[in-house]
Amino acid sequence: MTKLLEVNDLVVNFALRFGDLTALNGISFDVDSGERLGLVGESGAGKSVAGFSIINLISKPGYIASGAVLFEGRDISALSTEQMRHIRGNRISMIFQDPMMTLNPVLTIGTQMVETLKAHRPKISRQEAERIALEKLSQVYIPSPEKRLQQYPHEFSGGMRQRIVIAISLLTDPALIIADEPTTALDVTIQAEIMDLLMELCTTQKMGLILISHDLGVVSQTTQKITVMYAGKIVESGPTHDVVAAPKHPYTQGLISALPQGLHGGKRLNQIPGSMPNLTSIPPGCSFHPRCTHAMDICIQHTPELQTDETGSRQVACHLYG
Amino acid sequence: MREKFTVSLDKVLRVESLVKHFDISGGLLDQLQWENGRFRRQYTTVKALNDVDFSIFPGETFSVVGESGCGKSTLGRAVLGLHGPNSGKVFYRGERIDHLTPKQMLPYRQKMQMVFQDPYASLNPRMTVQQILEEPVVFHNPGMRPNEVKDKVAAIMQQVGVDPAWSYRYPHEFSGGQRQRISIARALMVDPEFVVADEPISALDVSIQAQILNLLMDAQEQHGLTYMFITHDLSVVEHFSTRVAVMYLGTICELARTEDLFSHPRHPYTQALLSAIPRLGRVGSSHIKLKGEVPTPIHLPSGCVFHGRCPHMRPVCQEEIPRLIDLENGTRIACHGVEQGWV
Repeated sequence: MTKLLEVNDLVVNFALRFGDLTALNGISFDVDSGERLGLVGESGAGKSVAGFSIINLISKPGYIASGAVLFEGRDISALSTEQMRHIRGNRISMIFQDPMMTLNPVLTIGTQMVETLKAHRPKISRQEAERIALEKLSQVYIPSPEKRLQQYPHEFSGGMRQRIVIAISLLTDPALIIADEPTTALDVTIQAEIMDLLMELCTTQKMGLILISHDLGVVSQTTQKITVMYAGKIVESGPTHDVVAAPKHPYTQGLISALPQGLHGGKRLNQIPGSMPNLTSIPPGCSFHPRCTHAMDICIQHTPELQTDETGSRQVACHLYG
Repeated sequence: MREKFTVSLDKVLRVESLVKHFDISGGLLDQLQWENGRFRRQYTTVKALNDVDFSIFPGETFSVVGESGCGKSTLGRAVLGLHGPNSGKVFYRGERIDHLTPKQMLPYRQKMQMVFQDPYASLNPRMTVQQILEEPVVFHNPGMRPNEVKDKVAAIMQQVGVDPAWSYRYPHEFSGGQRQRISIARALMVDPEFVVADEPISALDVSIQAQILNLLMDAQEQHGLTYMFITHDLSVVEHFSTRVAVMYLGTICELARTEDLFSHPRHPYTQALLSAIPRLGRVGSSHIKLKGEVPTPIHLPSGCVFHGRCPHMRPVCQEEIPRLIDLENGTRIACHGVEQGWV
């Protein structure tokens, strides 16, 4: 049984004047229909590049150096621009962080929705396109959708705009949605509503979801599987509940204990010393070793491989575990 | 009368019915409205703060939380006199400071410092770290010898975890976390008593946030600082603060000790806000859904500003503005429902 999306050993480089910079160094993960995967990491970890490279949206000088992106069993990493157009925005949709940047400020919501549908289904009539647009707007709980179609993005609040972006991404009934920090620009109460909506859509429409976020709290509440990234590599992955309850990699452990949880109010937080290395100067061996409290000699010399544990569900890349 | 005076002295800061409205009506032509056959001049104001009352005690961390647009940053700035309030009073150690001239304000400026949200925007890119840190000390203590100033800069840099050997570098050579350390160092340079920190960690990564929070806590211990901490991040508030004020549309709806607020939120808005915090290990969400959206602060709702979204709304909420009442455990709350016992 093929998975909906399988990313195998993907390497993404950026060609710069002084040579190639590796932004993604051999990452693999998969998502099935109706499954929700969280990609977590700090800025510069490569989580957004991972999301972009799935739908081949990395712009020059970035390129996919090796590896495969299998979507419904077919490698889409080497498709031509024309072929990719049938998948991108159609079978795989993407939601970005800032809805105001995603929406065109000078076109009404209705025009933008009809335009999207026409781009993917050239034969569709305007009436039919509007009917689908209305249906999708009510699916994301936008009140009085008929009136809303005539309005411009600035007439909506931040939360409403993100709902509209989600509605647009649903127009073509995609099999997979990639959401890159979809709620980072929003307030907590609105964030909770948007996450509820995304979860509900995944369940009812059998859609796969890749949630890219720096917020472990949001990811742990929304996803079934989690993949933690550090400096372009996956350091740990597994079922969300297990990873959050008992993180194995020192980076994941540090990330979780650095979160203020309210359990030990007023006490010093467990901090990870230093900061994420720049891509131009990734340390040799395990790239986390300069910040790691368990660093051994082997960590400086050898890069740990991502190894699956005895249960078969969890993976960790750390010399502490074999 | 005398009693009241002594009480106010032991508070670092006291704010009494502070009101701040911003006039956004623009030029004369923008203000003119055609109505019933004649022109009428109409002003548009954003009602950022409406009758805000609170006190901050020495050594505590007083957090102000709320969603974007609730007036929390305006409050921080009004307290420091960066925005002159329309009405109301601000007392620092019992002295009224809201009506002072810039010159009269000087001694207080040294006692009250601010740390801003964006460390990329709050440090002058054309000054070295040394210059950035020296400037406030030299300004407030013109008599200080250059050597003393240098020593002080080195000591404070050491304290905030930035290598003093880097003092001749420019801000762009530092990462976000280090820049925020420099902003904190700049605030500490003049030995303040009271620091307003406006979202000091929201531009930073999680692992760096923990470093900066620890630094703020250490600085508080070493310098005996009092913090007013403005943030939208509720888990940080829970960890970090002594008391919390929850703001909604320019008013304080609940003010309580951190433990009380997080274990027994009383105001319907606080309850909804707290239930929406994403928590590690909680599967799915069971947050309280509020209907509608935050109204604009240009046209405030009548009565309780929250009534349009409140699940416990009754007719009185539409008519009367609820007063901030004191409950038995020191919690202050503005809600008709809690006051009359139906919430």
